[in-house]
Amino acid sequence: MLVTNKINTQQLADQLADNVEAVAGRSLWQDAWARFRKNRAAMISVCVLLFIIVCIVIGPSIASFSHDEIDWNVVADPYELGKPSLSSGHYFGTDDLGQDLFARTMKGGRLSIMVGFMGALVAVVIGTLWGSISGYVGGVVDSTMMRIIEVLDSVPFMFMVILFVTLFGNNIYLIFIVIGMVSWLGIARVVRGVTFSIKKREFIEAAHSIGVSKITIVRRHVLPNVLGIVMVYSSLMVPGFIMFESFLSFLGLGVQPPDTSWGILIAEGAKTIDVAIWLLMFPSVFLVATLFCFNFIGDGLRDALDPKDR
Amino acid sequence: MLLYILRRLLIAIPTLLFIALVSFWLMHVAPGGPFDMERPMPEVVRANIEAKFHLDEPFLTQFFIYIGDFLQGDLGPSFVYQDFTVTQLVAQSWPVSATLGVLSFCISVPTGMLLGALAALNRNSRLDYFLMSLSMTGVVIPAFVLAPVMVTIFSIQLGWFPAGGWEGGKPIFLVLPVMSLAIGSIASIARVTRGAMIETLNQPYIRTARAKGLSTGYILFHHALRPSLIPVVAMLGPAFVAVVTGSVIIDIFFGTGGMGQHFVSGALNRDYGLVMGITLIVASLTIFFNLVVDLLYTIIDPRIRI
Repeated sequence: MLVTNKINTQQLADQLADNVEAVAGRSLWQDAWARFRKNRAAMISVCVLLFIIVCIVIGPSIASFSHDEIDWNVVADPYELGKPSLSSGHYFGTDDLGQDLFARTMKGGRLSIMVGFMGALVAVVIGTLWGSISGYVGGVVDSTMMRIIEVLDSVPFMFMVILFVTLFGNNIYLIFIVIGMVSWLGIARVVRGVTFSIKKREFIEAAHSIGVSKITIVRRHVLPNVLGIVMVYSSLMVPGFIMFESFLSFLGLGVQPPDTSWGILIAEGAKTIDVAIWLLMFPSVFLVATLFCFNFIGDGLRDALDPKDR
Repeated sequence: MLLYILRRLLIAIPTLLFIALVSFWLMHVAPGGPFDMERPMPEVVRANIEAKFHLDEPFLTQFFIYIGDFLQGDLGPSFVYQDFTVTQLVAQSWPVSATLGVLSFCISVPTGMLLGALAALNRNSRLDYFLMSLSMTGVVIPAFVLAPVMVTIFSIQLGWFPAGGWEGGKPIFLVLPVMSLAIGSIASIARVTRGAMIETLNQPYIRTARAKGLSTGYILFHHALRPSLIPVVAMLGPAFVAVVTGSVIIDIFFGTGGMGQHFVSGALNRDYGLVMGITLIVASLTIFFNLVVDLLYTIIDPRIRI
């Protein structure tokens, strides 16, 4: 009796083990990906964004002209001869100097999107480090670090960036760094909050009790949990940076000719809006489409990674 | 409460000093000065001018002279607009920025909240999708695209409104700048309100209120509105400062002569006095409205203690 019982339990245990293997566990990321894939707006945005990126990568090489080349054939009357047309090779038309707008839009897109990603990268690195240290260490360190953020919060950053850029020249790398440096405050706050709440969870305590070192705990257990929210936050930050760079360029404080960005093209287009609408239209469409995509992707990521809200 | 306000105001002093010091220092170490001309001026003249504006003193002395004057309401001379002091320039441009800002604020807050609440009440309906795509459009179209488009449609094509200028603030000159400022904030306020409202409407006490048979309007205004205000108010503080101090783009595109315009031209011309003055005013306003927002929290939600 006793013996058969024992065998049965063992069989049962084996069966259970088999079952566990049969339904392989889904990780948080697989779950999130499944949810993200169901979000139609986000998936369409990913496709559109990929299309735009492919455009700006190969665009300059399929354009008939380079971005700073003057087409002397249209200079005589750029608003008549420089209209968008397939036959002249100026698919998007030309500006008042006879420069090909298609090549310029593609070239400008590279810069605008790069600024977006680089700015987000700088902000994410500083913000995550600051927030996770502050949240994990706690105590005096935490309150000092948070006070610093409070002080920085009342600095009028848009004004500071304008000041910085006008005073130290329009170096494009400077713009990346300045934009990133002034916008890590929000992300640091969020990361600190999440770290703070994770720190008290049982699995961290368990890791402590089996003697895992602090650094490993942060790397293995805290950061992966923070990663989701950081991804959501940074995907919503990228369009902000693209817009900010365009804003600086619109004021003439961003990149300088012969380099170009969507902001510069829009600023030029805005001046000739009554005679050459295409100069405003094409760069604006690209800029707005990109911003749309990033916003939808950010929303999609938030829904996918933060299941609490459903 | 009083103690809290006092403490916050005390923290504000070192914060402002810090901001002033950083911007002062930035301008000090930056290459180029307001008196760099194509033709170098005689040494004596330069020395005299520099002595007049204390530019020959050590850095910290200059800074403390400036702070001393600032506390007496004297923002110093403008180096570039030589007939004006910075105080005069600010006094001139501040009403412009404030008018535009307050007007657009008064339009965007009620409109944005109304649209957000409508979308939240009809969650996942056609109306919701329509309003949210509209507001997403409003969020992603930058002011510098919107403003030229509005000018093309309403001034060039239809000829309803002037394309720019101020003319002492005649209403017809206000329409386009105010609309360009307001559309973006209507859109973002609507999005935030919708999110907050949906969270509130999911609470059990709202279900109870519905079960009691209260009307939707009553539930909305008496039960749901207040808790949903917190995230909206959090966003409004900085937004208010941004519009009141003048959206730089709107000022420049419409040539209204607001503070944003002076700031950018000041920075480009290295007009240190003007730039410092505006930076400090904006910083003070930011600190003040951050405090107002925190106090508003306690009024909206008495459970929040400060």
